[in-house]
Amino acid sequence: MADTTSETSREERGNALNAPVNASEVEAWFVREVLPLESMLMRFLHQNWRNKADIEDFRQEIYAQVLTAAESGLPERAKPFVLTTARNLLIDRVRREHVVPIDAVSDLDALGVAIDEPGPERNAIARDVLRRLQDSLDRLPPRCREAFTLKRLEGLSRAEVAQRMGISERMVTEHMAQAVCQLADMLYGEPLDTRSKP
Amino acid sequence: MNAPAPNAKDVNATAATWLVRMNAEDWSEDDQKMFDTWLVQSPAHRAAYWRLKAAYAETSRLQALRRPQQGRGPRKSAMPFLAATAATLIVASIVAAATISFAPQSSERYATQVGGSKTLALRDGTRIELNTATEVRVSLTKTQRTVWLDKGEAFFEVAHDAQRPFIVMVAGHRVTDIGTKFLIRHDPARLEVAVVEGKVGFDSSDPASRAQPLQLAAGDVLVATPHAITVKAKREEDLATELGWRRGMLIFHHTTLGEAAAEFNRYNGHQLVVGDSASALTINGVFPKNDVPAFVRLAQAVLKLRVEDQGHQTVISR
Repeated sequence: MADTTSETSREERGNALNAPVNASEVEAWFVREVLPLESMLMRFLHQNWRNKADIEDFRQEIYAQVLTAAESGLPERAKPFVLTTARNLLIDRVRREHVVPIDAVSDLDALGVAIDEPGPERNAIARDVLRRLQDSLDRLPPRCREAFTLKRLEGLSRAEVAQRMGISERMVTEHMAQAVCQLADMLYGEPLDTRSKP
Repeated sequence: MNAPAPNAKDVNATAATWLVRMNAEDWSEDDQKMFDTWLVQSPAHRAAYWRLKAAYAETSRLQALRRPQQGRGPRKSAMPFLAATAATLIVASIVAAATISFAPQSSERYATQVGGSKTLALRDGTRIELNTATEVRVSLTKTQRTVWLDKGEAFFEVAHDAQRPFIVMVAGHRVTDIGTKFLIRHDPARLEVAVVEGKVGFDSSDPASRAQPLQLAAGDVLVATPHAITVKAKREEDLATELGWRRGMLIFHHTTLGEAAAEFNRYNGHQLVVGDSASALTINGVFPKNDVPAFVRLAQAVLKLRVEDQGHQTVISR
């Protein structure tokens, strides 16, 4: 065998530390550096992939790859790393699909441009997080919102929430879980400029 | 070819359930152990859990301005779908093109086994290199030179002869040489024509798509599936990668492990099976096409993957 092999293009990670990184450091980095990029990542995926049903899976796969890399050394700059990972994933998918979506193929070179495009500033996101949280909460399905509000905000126990809502405790857990998923999507995934209230 | 990674919705739902249960009253030590096991299982689990945990933590800010519940129903989601505006260029569509195989009796048949290769030197000076598991029929007459590529992959170096066009029939399409070197790969659901030098004409023989024949130039790669024909330009080094087999080598450049294994499987009886979680890893490298052991060693030593030899196949997984 010749040449070397490397996992997920190490050269993209800048001068990464090569020592393994402990899990809490990776988590902190992921929350601080990667999650604020999610709305940009989602926009990038929507712009470059026709089948919207794939996008949530792509996001997960990209995050998994990003974490795998970060666990052996935190990338110096998160944004180019996340977008390069996203781009490589799309390229791999294009190669693998038997029916080649021509728009994706022809635009692959253009994807490089997006990597240098300025992204949202983190502090701009933090500034109106409270307003967006409230807005997201209002948009939950009513039962999810009710369960979440009683449990998380009013501090009732699960049994009390179940009693108050006239449902099983198991259903409370389900409503809560659904609420958390949707809140995360709205908080991180949605474009910043559409989050404002009417 | 590759099974998709575990469904994101399911992983997300599981992560959310853990998170909610952990914040309830009856969280036990056993629960914590099970959760820890789940969390280390996969980076996808960690990504989903950490993401939801962060969102959940953010909502503590809402406690500060707790307000009475509102009777409002949920508003319609404002999620805009940013439609991609790239122009779609579908040159022609082939509706299940039936393979045309009315070869004249005078044709000669050549084939290679899995892992084999063969170079044909035709009387007119044309060379055809057959890759693994390939079948062609060749007919040379005074007025025409015809090759049927019934399956597999072949590289053509055609001796120019204006009086006798050189035609390759493949999956119902007609590839006409105009003095050139080109590669044709014929997989069950996909046909690829890559032009290395000179020009090539491509004519879909499906009557429904009689639009116009295409002309492909050096660097053009045409891909035909049962649904569409697309043409794109490839860089020289990418073409060189595809032609590595002519030197007995497989060349991988940012290739996923799943794809690389599939390439090896074209050449070798001993098959590689790559588990879901490992198939998206990207590799670079050059391997002799029959050196499966080298590839397996690399997966084990460099990528730290688990390797299990099951006799007729080797399973590679995380």
